[in-house]
Amino acid sequence: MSRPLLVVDDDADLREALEEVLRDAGYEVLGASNGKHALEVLGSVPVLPGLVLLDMMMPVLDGGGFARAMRQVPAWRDIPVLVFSASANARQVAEEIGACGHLRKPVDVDTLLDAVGRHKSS
Amino acid sequence: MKPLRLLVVEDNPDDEALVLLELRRNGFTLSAQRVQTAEAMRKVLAGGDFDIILSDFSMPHFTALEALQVLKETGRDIPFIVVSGSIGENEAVEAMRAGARDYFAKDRLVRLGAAVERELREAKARHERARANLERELLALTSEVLTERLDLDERLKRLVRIPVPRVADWCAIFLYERERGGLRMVALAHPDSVLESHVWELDQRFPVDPRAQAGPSRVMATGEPELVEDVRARARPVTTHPDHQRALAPLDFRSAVHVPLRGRSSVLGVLSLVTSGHRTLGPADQSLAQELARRAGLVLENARLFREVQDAVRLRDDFLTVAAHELRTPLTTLRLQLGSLLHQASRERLSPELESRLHRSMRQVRRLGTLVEVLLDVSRLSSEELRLSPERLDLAELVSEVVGRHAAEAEGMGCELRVKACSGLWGLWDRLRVDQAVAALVSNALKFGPGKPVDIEVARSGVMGRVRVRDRGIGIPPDQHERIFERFGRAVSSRSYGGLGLGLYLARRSAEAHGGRAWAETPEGGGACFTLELPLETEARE
Repeated sequence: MSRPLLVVDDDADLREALEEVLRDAGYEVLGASNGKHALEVLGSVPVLPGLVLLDMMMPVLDGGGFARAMRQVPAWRDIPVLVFSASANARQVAEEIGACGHLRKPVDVDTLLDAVGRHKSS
Repeated sequence: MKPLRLLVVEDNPDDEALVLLELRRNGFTLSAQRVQTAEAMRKVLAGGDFDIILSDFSMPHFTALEALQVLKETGRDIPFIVVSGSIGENEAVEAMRAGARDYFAKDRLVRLGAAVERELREAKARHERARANLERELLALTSEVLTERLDLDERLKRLVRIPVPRVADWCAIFLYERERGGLRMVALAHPDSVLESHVWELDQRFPVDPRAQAGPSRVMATGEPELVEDVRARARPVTTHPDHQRALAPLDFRSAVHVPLRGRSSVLGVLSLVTSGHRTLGPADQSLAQELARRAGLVLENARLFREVQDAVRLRDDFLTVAAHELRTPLTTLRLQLGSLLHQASRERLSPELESRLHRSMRQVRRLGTLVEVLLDVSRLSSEELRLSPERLDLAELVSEVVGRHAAEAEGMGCELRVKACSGLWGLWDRLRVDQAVAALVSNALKFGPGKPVDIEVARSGVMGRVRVRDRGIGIPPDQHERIFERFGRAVSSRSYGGLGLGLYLARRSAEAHGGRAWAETPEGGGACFTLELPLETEARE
């Protein structure tokens, strides 16, 4: 069974657009509106995601807080995280939280699919 | 009636009476003190001012020569006349050499009154000259200190040292602080650093009372200078706090002048000169303080304006940053939606018309994205240096990517994009920045040279990789070649040609941040030629 993708972004329209594009490309996609919600999703799914597409600036629990909390749980520690941020220093942020890569908003479909394909663990 | 403050150095009261009698006969109203030892003379001089000193030549425990030495130690210029019972030629010459202004035998005092008058006149002239020299020197020093390349606090700290101790024992600067609704002492000087620290501590314990009816707070409130020749006789105290009054008492303040530090439209603070002991301040000191304050006020006003400008710039940049950040999220959604619709349209071969409309929408969304990025960059670049995230890139590959992105636009403008690229030119560059710079050159060429081919050349030039974009459009007058690289710089009216006037500015900033450069030329045959040079990585230079 292929592992799903987890999209974490507080902007509902953007999250849905991402989910659609990724589903069209054949991925199974889970969504979460903030870091806390994402942790709940991780705790409830039967198959852990093969990649987390993570926005940084979110209410309740931001991307940094989510990444730190996720690394505390041994089973979740190795799930790759791809930072998906509007910040000009997305790359630096990605290095700080130990992400496998970064995408800077805005992004094209091809760039998105290419990055997801490279970083997702099967 | 001529008042005369007289110090008599004499062991014999009768001889003193004789001298006083002679001076009174000459119309002087006297206040006299008599001393006959060095210690007594030092003490009396420290406690008061004197217009003249009359001294016996030789006393049981003191001599005129020793008295001259005591006077010299104080550094004060008080006329000194020897009045002796038996003074020989040699003693007289010795006394004059040591600094005495004149000498008289006690039995021939007829000319004493005239001599005292002459000495007072000459002393006054000497004092005025010395004062004028002192003021010139202090003001020159002030200008020097205020224009030094130091932060404002440091300059003020140096400024307060200038009039101390030659004009006053203390000098302080208080600045108005809106948050505390009153003055705060920011600089203080006294010759004794221990006393100086003590007053700093007092200032911590008893901050300046904004409601005080005298002193700095009063000057701040009225904007009028205040001169208090004798603070002990002052009707309204600077502080009403009994502990504060008790703490100030040992400092023995005598005289004070407080003058406003004026900005263009308001009082920014107060400069104070204060003396202790016998020394008093007068109108001349107030004028000097006002001149010091005027110069310091100019500098403070400039600093205030500078801060205001900085605040305004920061506010604007903050706003633009947030605005651009907010704009990126919907742009991302739009791009993804359009992208996925385009995929679907081409996959399912829906309608060529629909596909072309989607492509047009996508181009406009991309254009909007570029504008947002440019605005964000400019807001950041006005206040800080460009930060690079370098990675290893092939220049020809990057240029071809940018050119590919402009293919549809070029077609729309009727321009053929002709690329001649030399591959294998590698460098450590920031992809986003170089992409942005090349894109600015290409879209400029399309905008100003529609309907004609645009040549793009990627080549090596020594240790540099070079991108040259040449159009055949309206061209740029040579005197505008530099201006167009400035922020908001443009060689044509913004009414005829749109654009933010930021693309070339950012291109040059990017090139320079990489250690390269960007410039414009007018090639033979018209049009414009833009060149971007970036340093190649070391191996690629061989």
